[in-house]
Amino acid sequence: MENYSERLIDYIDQTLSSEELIAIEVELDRNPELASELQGLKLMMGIISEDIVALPSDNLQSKFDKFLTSEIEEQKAKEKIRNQDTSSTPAKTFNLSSLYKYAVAAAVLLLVGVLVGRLYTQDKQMDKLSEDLYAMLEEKSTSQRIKAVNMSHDLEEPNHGILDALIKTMNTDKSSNVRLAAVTALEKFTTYDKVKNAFINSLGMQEDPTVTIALINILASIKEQNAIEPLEQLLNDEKHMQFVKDEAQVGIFKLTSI
Amino acid sequence: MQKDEQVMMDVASGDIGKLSILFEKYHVRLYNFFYKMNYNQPLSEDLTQNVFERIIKYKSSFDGSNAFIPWMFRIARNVNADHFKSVKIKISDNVEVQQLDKVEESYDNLSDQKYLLKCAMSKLSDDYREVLLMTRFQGLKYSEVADVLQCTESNVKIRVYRAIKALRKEYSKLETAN
Repeated sequence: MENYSERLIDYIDQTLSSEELIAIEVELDRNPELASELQGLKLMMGIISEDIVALPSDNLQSKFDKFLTSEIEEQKAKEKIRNQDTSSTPAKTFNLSSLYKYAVAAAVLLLVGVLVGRLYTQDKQMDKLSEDLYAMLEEKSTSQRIKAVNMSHDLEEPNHGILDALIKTMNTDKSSNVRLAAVTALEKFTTYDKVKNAFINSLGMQEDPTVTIALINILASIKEQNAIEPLEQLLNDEKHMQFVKDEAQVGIFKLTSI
Repeated sequence: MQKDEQVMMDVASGDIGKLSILFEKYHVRLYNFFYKMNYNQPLSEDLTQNVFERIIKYKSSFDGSNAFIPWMFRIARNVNADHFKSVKIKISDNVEVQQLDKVEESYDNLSDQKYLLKCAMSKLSDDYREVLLMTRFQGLKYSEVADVLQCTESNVKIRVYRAIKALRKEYSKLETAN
């Protein structure tokens, strides 16, 4: 064994092979420094093994129960919507092989009708979702509002109502956790000018460092040049802590070093 | 009893109610992992909750080919790192040993030995504290910790040795000071 010291833990744990065990015991007899180090490690490991297990309060269990119940309910609701979609979707099987041109035209018309119908239904569903989102964002419970914000994660293309709801939440919700959740939810939609502008405007409104830093990082990552000036203003704003200003400085550096 | 991996596979395939089995089994261990990293009870409870929320969020990334415990602790490390990255506060930067009696009133009843251990732990670097918490306090196998830290088993052993040595040094300093 080249380094006996580093094998002392294995010696205490009794996980050495018989050859290694003999070698280290010979060395321990010969080397008092190693023997003293062994005593020190043994003592420390003994103290660690007697350490108490800290117990969380009952809040953790109840928060988890609420979370899981709400997840299960959400899953059931999604399942229900999926089933409704499946049962209401018109049959899409067409046999074009023997159709005459009128039949082809009729099929095309039917297809267009179905697509328009689906788009209309999607719009309706979006409006409904947007209304639900607004309603849920009025909830008193922080966790329920976070849940509402997180509903938007499944959306590929939000409508303006949903974006407005999320932007309003980002800027005005009383809980910084909810505001941060809204920032995270909106990050997915930075291709929209409305969202980019909202992020820039929000820089001047946020007071919580976590939310401000999240905004800085997103604006830097999407290379939003219009953010440079507000970030420079932030550097001179006394209400922000130094580490926030450091992040802003890094953000400016990233944006100006393209 | 079902293996953790099988339970997690059930959760991943949609039976999310089974997450309560994993919560029951591991929430105290996770809580202790966080608590002994930051010594803040409400924060540690929040971070423990976050782990289970992320397990649900990323459930589809669990394919059963890896062991559950290292996968869960990888999430826990990320949760901890993300939290401190966002607020840029670390316990070792802010809590002086002399101030710990003010910070932790709940530790009033601890014996001197346990109090000194807590103080000495708070003086270690995050890396050392983390590897000690996983191996010596949480009882994870070296192979499991190697999986969490994405390094070799012998690398973990060396880190543990160095961490215990550093802890011994801090502990002795505090013992002498008292």
